[in-house]
This record gives sequence, C-alpha cells and structure tokens, in this order.
Amino acid sequence: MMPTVDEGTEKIFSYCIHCAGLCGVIAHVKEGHLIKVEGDPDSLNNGGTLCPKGLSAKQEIYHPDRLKYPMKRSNPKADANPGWVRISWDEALDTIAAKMKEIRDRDGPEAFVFQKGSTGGSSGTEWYRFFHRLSALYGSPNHGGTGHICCYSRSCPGLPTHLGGKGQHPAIDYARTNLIFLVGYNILHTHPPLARKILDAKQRGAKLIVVDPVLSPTAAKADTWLALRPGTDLALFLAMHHVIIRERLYDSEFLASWSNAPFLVRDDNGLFLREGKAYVVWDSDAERPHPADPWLPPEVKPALTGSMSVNGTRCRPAWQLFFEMVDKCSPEWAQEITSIPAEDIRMVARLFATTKPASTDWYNGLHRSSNGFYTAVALALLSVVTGNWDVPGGLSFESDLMFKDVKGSQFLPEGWVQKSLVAAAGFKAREYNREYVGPMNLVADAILTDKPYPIKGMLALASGVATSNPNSKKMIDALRKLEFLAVGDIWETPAMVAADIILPCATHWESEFVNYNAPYLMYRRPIVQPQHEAWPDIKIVFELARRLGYEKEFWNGDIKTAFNEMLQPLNVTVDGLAASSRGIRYLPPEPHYGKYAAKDKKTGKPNGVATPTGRLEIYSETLKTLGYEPLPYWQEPEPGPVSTPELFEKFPLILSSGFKPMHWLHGQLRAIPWLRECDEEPRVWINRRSARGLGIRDGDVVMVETPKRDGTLQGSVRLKAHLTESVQPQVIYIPYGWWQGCSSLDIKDSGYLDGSANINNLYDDSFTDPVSGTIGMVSYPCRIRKE
Amino acid sequence: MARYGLVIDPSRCSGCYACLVACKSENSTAPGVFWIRIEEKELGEYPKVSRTYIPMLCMQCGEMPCAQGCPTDAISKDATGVILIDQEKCICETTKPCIGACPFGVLTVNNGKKTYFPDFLTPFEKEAYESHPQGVVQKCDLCYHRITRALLPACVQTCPTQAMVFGDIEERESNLARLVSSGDAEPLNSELNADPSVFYLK
Repeated sequence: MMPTVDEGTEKIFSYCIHCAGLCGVIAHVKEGHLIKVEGDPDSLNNGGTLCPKGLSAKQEIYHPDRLKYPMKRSNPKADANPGWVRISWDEALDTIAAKMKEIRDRDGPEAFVFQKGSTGGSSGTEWYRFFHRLSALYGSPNHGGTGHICCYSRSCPGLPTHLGGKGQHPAIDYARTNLIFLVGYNILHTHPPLARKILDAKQRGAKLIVVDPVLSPTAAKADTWLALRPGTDLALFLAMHHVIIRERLYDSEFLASWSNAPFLVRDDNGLFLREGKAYVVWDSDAERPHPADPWLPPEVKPALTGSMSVNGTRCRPAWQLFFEMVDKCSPEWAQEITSIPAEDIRMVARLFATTKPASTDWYNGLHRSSNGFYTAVALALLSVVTGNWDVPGGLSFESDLMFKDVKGSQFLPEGWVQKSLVAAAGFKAREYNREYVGPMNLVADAILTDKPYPIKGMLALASGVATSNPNSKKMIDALRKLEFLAVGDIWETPAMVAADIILPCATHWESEFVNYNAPYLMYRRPIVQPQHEAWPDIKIVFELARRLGYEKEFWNGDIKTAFNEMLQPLNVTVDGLAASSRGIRYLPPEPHYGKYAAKDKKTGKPNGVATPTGRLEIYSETLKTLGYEPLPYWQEPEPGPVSTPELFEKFPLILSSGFKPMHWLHGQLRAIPWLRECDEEPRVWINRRSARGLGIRDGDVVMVETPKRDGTLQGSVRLKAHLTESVQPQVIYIPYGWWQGCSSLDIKDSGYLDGSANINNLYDDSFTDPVSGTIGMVSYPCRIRKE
Repeated sequence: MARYGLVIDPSRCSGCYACLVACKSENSTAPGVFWIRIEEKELGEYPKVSRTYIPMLCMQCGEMPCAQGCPTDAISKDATGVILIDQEKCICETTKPCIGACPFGVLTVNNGKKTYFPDFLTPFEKEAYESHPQGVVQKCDLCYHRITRALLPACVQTCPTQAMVFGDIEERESNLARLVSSGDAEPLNSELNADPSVFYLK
C-alpha cells in the first residue's frame, strides 16, 4: 500500500501561473520538500481541477538539469563551446550593468534590446511590468516580445482601432452563451479552467463551432468543425457577413446607434465627411445630413445604405461600403478559396446571426498569418453586426488590470515611439497604438544589417529567443553578432550558445508575487526556496535596476513596497494579505455589459468605446490615413499556394502548425519526464491518402524541407510520420516548440537547426502582416520525403 | 456493502493527460508505469472525421478475470469492491497470467527504472518510489488510500473537464448509481460479463 505522504504535510495555498488561466493550488510541503501539488477546490477558476503542467511542479523544481548558478563564457563567441565558468551573482549583475551603461553611453539606449518570452513558465504575466519599467528607465524603445507569433490581434494590443480596449482580451460568459464560435483556438487545452465551462455549456445545449484546418482536440468536440485551407479564415468570415447582410440578419438599430456604420464616407478621399469636428450621417426621414458628435438625438434615424450628395460631395455611409465589399464575397466564392462547402457557410452564418447570445473567440491559429489582422477584424465584427457585442454570453472585452500600473511608461524618453525599430520598419498602426513591444525578427534584421541603427546588446529573460522565433538560423546568427548578450532561464536553451552571461532563474513555484485568484486576493509566497543559486526574475530586475542607478524608481530595492503600490487601488497591503494563508476573500463586482452605453456623469453623453470615433468601427478611417485598407478586405495568406505559386512548384504541400496540447506551454517543459511521457516526440501529421502516394507509413522517419522567399532551401526538420485523417490531403501539420531532450527518459536534444525537430527552422520570417507584423506561418510551402 | 466505481463521459474527455500525471504524482509510479492511459480513436475520412478519447484503467471487475490465473491468490476484492494486488504475494518470475487474463490490458509490471531522477530524490520521494517493488504487477486501485479517507481518486479530482464521476454504485441515490441504472452508462466489452465497476456514458 502507498505511504500516505500527505500526512504531516503543511498545506500552502498558492496558484499556478504557467498560463493565463491562473489555477488555485494546494502545495503539500513536508520539512521544506514539496510532496505534491493539487487543484484547490475553493478556487472559482479551476474548482479543484488541475492540468498536467501544474501537477508536475515537483519535477520542474527538483529537475537535475536546471541551471544552477550564474556563468560566463571563457571561449570566444565563434566557438561552439562557450566554456562556461561559474561566477557569483554579483559578478554577473555587475558585468551586465556595466555593459548596459557602456552601450547606452556609446551607442544610445536604443542599441540595447530588452527581450521577454511568453508570459508563462516563470510567471511573466506578473514580473514583466517591472521589466518594462527597467527598459523605460534605461530609455530603450526596443522591447522584444511574442505578439508577432502569438496573439497580436486579440489582446496584445488587441483591436483598439476597431473595438477600443487596447490590451484587453475577450472574456466570454460561457454559462450564458448559446453559441460558441472558436477560431484557431484549442481552448479546451490551452485554457484549462474554461474547458469544463465550455463542455457544460455544450451539455445544456449551446452549439460549439470550431474553425481549424486540423481536427484539434477542441475541434473534435465541436457540433460543427469547419475544416478549411490554412490561412483562409478571412474569406469564411467575409462570406458569413455576406449571408448576414443579404438575408438581413444584422442588427441595424445597434449598428446605427453604436457603430460608425452610418457615418458618411467621402467618395473622393475615403475619409469621413465632417461638419466642424462632428461626423455626419444622413437623416433618412428628413433626407438631409445631420452631425454626429459621435452620438445622435433619438429622433434622427440615420441611413445605413445608399449614396448621397452633401454640398456637392458624393458620400456613402460606411455600412454601404462594407456591404459593397462583402457583396462580392458569396459563400460560393468562399468555397473556392476555403474548401468549406457553401451550404455549410450559409448554415453557420444563419446560426451565428440568429442564436442569441452568440460568442466568438480566437487565438494563435488566426494570427500567425500575413492576413491575420483583418481576419481578426472581420471575425470580431460578426459579433458587432449581429448585436452580440458586450452582452452577457456574447463577445465582451475585459482588462486584467485591477492593480495599479507600475510599468513606468512615464519614464520613457520623448519621441521613443518614433525611434523604435517598429516605427522604422513602417508598422504605422503599431506606432499609432504606441506599442511597447515589437517583433523579434525586426531586432534580428537590425543586428545583422546595422539598419536603421546598430543593435549592440540584449538582455533576454524567460525567452527561448532562438527557437521560439521563425527563422532560427537567422536569429542565432544575429545573437552571435551581438557585442553583449545575457540570457536568464530555468534551463540551458539554444540561444545561450551566443550568450556572454547566463543566469539561473527560479520557477514561479519558488518566487513571490501578489495576484487575484478568485475568490482570493493573495500574496503568493514561495512554496519552496529557490533551488541551487536560482533567483526569481523579479529579483534580477530589481538588482539590475539598483546597479543602473534606478534605486529610487524601484522602491529602494524593496519588492514588497512595490507590491504595496500595485495593491493601492484595492486598499490592502502585502502584510495584510500575508497575514492569512489564503489571502483575503475578494469578490469582484459582477461583470458590466453594455459599457459603451453608460453615460458620462458630466456630459450626460454615452461613454462609447476607446476607438478614434468613440463608436465601434466598421470602417477605420485611422487605418486609411495610416496607408492601410479601412475595411477588412480579402487577401490571400503569404506565402500560400495562390499568393506564391512559384514556391509551391517544388514544395507542393502546405505546412501548418498550431494547436497546443494542455501539457505544453509553447516551447517549455519538454524536460519534465511526467509531461514527456504524455507526448514523447513530435510527429508530422500526414493525411493517409497523401502518405500512401509518397510511400510513407505510420512511424517512418521523414524529412520536411521548406524554401526561403527566393525559392532556395530555408531548412529541414526530421521527424516521424503520424498518418491521420485529421488534416486535409494537401496539408501537413507539425507541432511547434520542440528541441529540448529529456535526460530522465534518455531522450536527447534534437538540436534546433537542419534535421532537428524545431519547426521554426523551416520559416523565412519575411512574410509579414503589414498592419500587425505577425509572421506568415500557417500556410507555408513544404515537401516531405522518407529518410 | 459499498461498491466503489466510476462513470466516465467520453464526450467530455479531451485527451489532456491530466489524469495520467495526477496518478503519477499521487502514486509515485516508476517511469513507464501507467495505471491510467488514454486511448485515441479516429474514425472516418477527412473532413468527415471524428476523434474520441477513452481513459483506460482497472475496471474493478466483480468477476476478477485477472485473479483466476493467479497461482498465489495475490489478487483480492476489498469490502468496497476495489480489486487489490498483494505485492508480497505477487511472485511470478516470467509469465504473469493475470496480465493476459485482463480483457482491458490495464495491468502493468513494475520493471525498469525505479525513479525519474535517480541522483535527485527528496527523502519523501525516496520513500514513495521504494514502495513499489520491482517485478510486481500493479494497477489502479482507485487511489484506495484517498477514497478510504473520503477523498476523490486523484484522476477524478484533477480532470479539467470533469469527465469522471466517482461514487458508490450500491448507493441508490448517488449520481453514479442513477447513471448506471438508467442504462445511460455501460461497461466496455459488456459481452464479457466481467461485471466491471467502471462505466462509460454512451
């Protein structure tokens, strides 16, 4: 019989922050050793459940392959073996601070890049605000992140030009929705606390529709799986708009009152007609123009369609322009592009428009495409035109920021946006949104070309920068060219071969923070002390700040004082929270809906939304003035069989990558044996019929090769084949995030360049979305052969 | 008398492996030893294709087909209906008849590596891993050490989609008994008449 190990253990209440789900956990600790972690039944998020990542805390903390102490290289940069030598934290941080000062004084602060990875793994959602503060004080406008390969048009920054709410994210009440429309989002695995809520909704009769080129675990649960050619989601959504408009299933009253659909757009320049500062609508009863500030008196019924002349200027309502555009996008047109039968598109459009409330949400799968921005816009507008915006069970946006903002943007030097690599690369919408964090391919380009200016140094924390970004060869070449690179992580990662100094970081289980894990506002204490000489990232940031002379701005180095400032809006202190093992019960106010209609107390006018017009934007004049299309127009994904047919002559298959299983967090955790036993190695998913034609059997080792933009070889991966009917015959699917071995199970690192398992070795990173900068990865040309 | 069992809803299982990891964490089983696993079944042709996930674990059969071949009577049924293997009595050196006799393929032999991180065990891990003698047959016991203290089996507790219900089949008011008696849930391979205590929703 098993020893009853939890007898005599101390229970520490905490939460897992491996992903944005934030699950409450109970850690059982005995004499300072973690015994196990379980879900906390009192947590409103997870209700006692817990996913494989959180359950594996013990193997993460006590893993023998963790980085144990700071090290510096003793061999030249070109050497494949850095010759790591153990150093003290003082030496490591003094060296980093000295190099940061040297580069800033000699080349300017923009020559030093602050780089962060995904928000999980080392509780990035928590400490990144202090990393931002450090880069702001240092004065660098170049802070590299992951939005360009993840979720730019969802929450980083979101769709502020169309829906307002920069940095907010969709939040759906699954207890109240009657239709769940998910796009490129394996939500059952990637947001574990929502999994049971979605299946509960389905069991009470809500319909689940999933758009995904691959039968993901979430698609496998759908009432309707819309399997489409990768990267063509936009055509599907435009055709749904077509059906909704043709069949008059849209909510014209909502559009007239709260969107800019009635605003008159000038035929001559595509800008809104203005009367003074006000926009103008066409009063359909009085048959004359009427100003909108942006609101209208209730008696004015604005026209949504037609063409009219105002003082000699021809105009059409924005909705008329939207209608004219989608009128060309019939379901039959979309069938040709997407391969979804036209009748299915009609059925789904009708179902979406007539089921109230209907919700939609989207994630990575939608973004990693050169048309990702407009795809997200067209999808979000489905909720707006059908009156499902900001209603219970519809699409509403929420902010996580219940704490005081301590990112320190006020410390940034004047003109920082214009100085950033993002602005220099011509991403006008990102510049307009004043975005802090930019795509890493721009950083690699700048390092390699010294244009628009040289980049000399980088500090990368919690980031698999070499393998998480497309074009791994280029990224590693760029990192090697840096004058100085410091990398902190839990494990040794491929980027470290180019580093001057590496830092051992603590897992989130070994670090502290304050956070809200409903219903508890909690001070999260370390459940065990950091192993070896590992430090929490937040401590690294604070200690560097001190060495750089920002002690005062960093609360004199006292992390708890910083937490207290974050907690100010909640009228509690860290000590107040720490007094109880669970923190304090804090029930958030009920979610508010129809926030746009709430009236400002002073003016008596509705608050509207935080877009340029104050209304939800069907037509974005701002994009137009920035040089982009004002409407979400159809464009083929690049690369793709239609947009770059020349690349598909020699590389005839479509490579797609996307859904993530619950046990992985992007490229992390592959060394954890419990998790690795769930999923020992990545496999190439090939349709059975295509595989037969290629002479490939299940389990065969295959090489997958891809081209660069110019048709020459970009790179290869070597993996085993998984024969399946879950992908289209022209598509192969390869999971991402693979390179790391698992010594405990005698699995070696695969490497990360040619012949490895690293899918990012297969992508040229130059096919970018001109608005968002996201990189075209879902529809990439490739060929496959048996080894 | 109680009879503990499970009802598993395959329409809620998303194949996430949380049950498998929770089982390993709770029971400190050795590398490669799984008391629960997930079977994936793909049916149809693209795009008319479906995939289901079926968690597989000891079905706690009333008829105990596994025990019938055991030369040392190491396998017995507890008063709660849970099938237990006495590790002391499990002595077959090579062929282990119980493994072939189990219609569900859920018995495993504790062979190979003893621990995940041989040079890196906390004192309590050492104790837990050493509780599994080499060469013995092992299987799910519904977390006997938990259910006898009014806790749920670790897999049931952790399941993010709440696809598993634990309970007493004999307790007529229980959710579990209701599902079983209504005929909405059935054991796998019911034609074998092995009388399992684990049921799957149709």
